[in-house]
Amino acid sequence: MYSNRYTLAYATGVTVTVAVVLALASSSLRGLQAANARRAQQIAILQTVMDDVNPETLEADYAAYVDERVLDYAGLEVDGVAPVDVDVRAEFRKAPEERLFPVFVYERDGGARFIVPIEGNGLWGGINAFLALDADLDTIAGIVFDHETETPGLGAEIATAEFQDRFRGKRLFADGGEFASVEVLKGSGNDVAGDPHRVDGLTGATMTTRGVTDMFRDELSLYNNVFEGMDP
Amino acid sequence: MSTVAVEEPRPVVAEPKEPLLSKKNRRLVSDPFGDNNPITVQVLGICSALAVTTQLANSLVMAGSVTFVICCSNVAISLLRATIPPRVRMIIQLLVIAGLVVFVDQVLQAFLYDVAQELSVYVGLIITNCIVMGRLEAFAMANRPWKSFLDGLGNGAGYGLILIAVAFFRELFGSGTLLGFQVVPQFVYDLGYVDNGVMLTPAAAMFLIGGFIWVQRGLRPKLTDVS
Repeated sequence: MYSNRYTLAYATGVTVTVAVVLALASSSLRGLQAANARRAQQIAILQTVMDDVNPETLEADYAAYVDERVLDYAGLEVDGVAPVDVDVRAEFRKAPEERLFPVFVYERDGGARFIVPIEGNGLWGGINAFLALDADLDTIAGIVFDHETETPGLGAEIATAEFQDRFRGKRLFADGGEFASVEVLKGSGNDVAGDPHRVDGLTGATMTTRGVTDMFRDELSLYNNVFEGMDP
Repeated sequence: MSTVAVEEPRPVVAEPKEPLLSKKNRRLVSDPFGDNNPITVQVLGICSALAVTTQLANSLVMAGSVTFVICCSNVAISLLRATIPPRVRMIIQLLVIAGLVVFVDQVLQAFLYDVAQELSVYVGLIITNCIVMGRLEAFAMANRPWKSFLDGLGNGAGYGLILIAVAFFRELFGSGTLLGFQVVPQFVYDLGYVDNGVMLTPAAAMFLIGGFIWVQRGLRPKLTDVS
């Protein structure tokens, strides 16, 4: 039989040992993890407008073509904040007036495209995307989705190129100029050819794609306000 | 004279030197592939077998991670087994498992970032995988480190084998791909073939595992008495 003192000391000892080992592992790997996250973000941003992102020239390409800005709700430039330091998920939970709105301007061969991070909620957790708009701030040039915990094979399919390509060329504004957003339809196989505001959905991912629709409507109506005040 | 008893070697209490890969030890590794498979015979670890098997790549990483965790935790607990107070032994086991799982997650985040993003919560859920704690309780608490290591290896691989088999069928019939590469050729789709959406749902994994169990028990009648 072990004494209480021994038991307590033993449990404490194991706990502290495990904690120290994990803290060491975590702090020694943090640099690599942050670099991975940063790289993943740069890849996602470039993927919205480039078909092939070359991992080897990624950093050079990004530096050459992308201009990073952080704006406030009125579209004014916020000084002293790098987009890297903006936690978009945390900003998403704030009131619009207090939010920071990162905008990535992609300029190449004379034309500019505006890439914005948008956030929403899927079925199990957060979903987010980088959305690229043409210089008219209306036509979608490309989109790259990501998600926290959507179901693999179902909701997680929003992050496939096949689904993302369906958004190309869709438009945010109706011909009359009012904001019409983009809606993802329930199920797949819908005929959306020629409809600039509807996108074919995913079977078995109704809740996730509904989250995408909500994300577009809510986030882009905010960004429209930002764009209006923005210095082009 | 007679009092000076010569110290006789105690009868077989000291384990005889056993070769590292004796027949018995090899069985520790091979048994979980067949008659003692953690998924199809003991029916443990079903939850993750349903969750991560839509894609082969994810299943491979999951199988590797679980094998790593079982091996390491088995060895660690086996080394500590004589010192662990019985009253807190499960808490200690859980601590060791949780520590290892968090470690695996950190390593994946640093070196296999994309896969880590895909597996996300399921890596953390290895902590609650019944196979891991089952092996600690059933084996590592009573056996030497090397045997525990082999036992962990066998059980991890036996679990992984089923995971990979299930994922193979689910990815092939559910998405028409294997490891992300298109295997079902386009002309088959042109002829009217469609990917089977049911294969992407957890229910399909249940059917597949049920099928495996059926086949295995059909071939090995002695297993039918187990449960």
